[in-house]
Amino acid sequence: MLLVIGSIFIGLIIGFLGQRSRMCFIGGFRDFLLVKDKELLKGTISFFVSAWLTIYILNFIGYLFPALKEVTTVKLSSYPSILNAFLSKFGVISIIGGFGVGLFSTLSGGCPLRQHVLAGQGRIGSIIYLAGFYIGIIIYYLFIARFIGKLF
Amino acid sequence: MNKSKKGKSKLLFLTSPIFFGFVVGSLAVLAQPIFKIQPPQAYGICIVCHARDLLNWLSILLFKFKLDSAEATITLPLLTTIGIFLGSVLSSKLNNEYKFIKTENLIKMFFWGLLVSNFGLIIMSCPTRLVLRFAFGDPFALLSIIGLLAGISIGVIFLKKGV
Repeated sequence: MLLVIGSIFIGLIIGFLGQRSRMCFIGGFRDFLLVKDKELLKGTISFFVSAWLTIYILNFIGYLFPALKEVTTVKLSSYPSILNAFLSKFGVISIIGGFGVGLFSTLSGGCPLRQHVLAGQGRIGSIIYLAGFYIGIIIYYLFIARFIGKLF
Repeated sequence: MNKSKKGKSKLLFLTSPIFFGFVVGSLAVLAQPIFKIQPPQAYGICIVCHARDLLNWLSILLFKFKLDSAEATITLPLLTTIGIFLGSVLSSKLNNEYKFIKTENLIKMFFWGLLVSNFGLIIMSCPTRLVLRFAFGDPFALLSIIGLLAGISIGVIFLKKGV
């Protein structure tokens, strides 16, 4: 039950702040390339830095108070090195998937988060985008997931 | 844009993307241990995956058909995407920005949504989670971000040509 309450609580905060700040993770780099506007890029960097710092602060608290270990452990497993990642099959998929997300999000005018916020604001185009987004998820699991499973 | 600037000058920090990044970035990490959104690592915020988990929960409930989902969310729904939508409705109603506008080509928007969710599911990330995974030190996220930046650069060329 904690999961349900927690996720809707986080969602409400993101929705409220996202509507006020017009934050978009695609928009940062796009605006920088189009009009040299760094405002949204600062938001992305701030997201990265605060997430990174929070991980280290939690680790430090866990180091000081071992009794709290269960609450402060966020890194559950370790990752492969960058070279192994690049040479593996999943590395190639990562680059292709990232490319597709970047290209089509730029053409649609924002990342999925931004489109949810715009849909809440009443933008008809974004509401249609969300319809495509959710239908796309069902199509992926009905047809494309098997195809990709066969490829790799 | 901001009609009531005088009355809300104290709350101007709310409109800053840096403040958004600070609050949401910390919450994304803290959500893992506090709200137990946690068998996959770096799962606090992901629009694509949380939308999929919600659909998977609905699909099991209604049709007994299992899509796929994170371990934590098979029996309980993740309502992040609904929360974002409602939060945005609330905020725009409070600030008199809520109105129906039709600007984009609707058929194109439908297909962009469809394509973004499919490519997003291949890497199990939306751009937000990519940044979060990179903060956790995932090398695959770095590769995806390289692809993402390349995709945005090409998308910008298309935008300049007016596609």
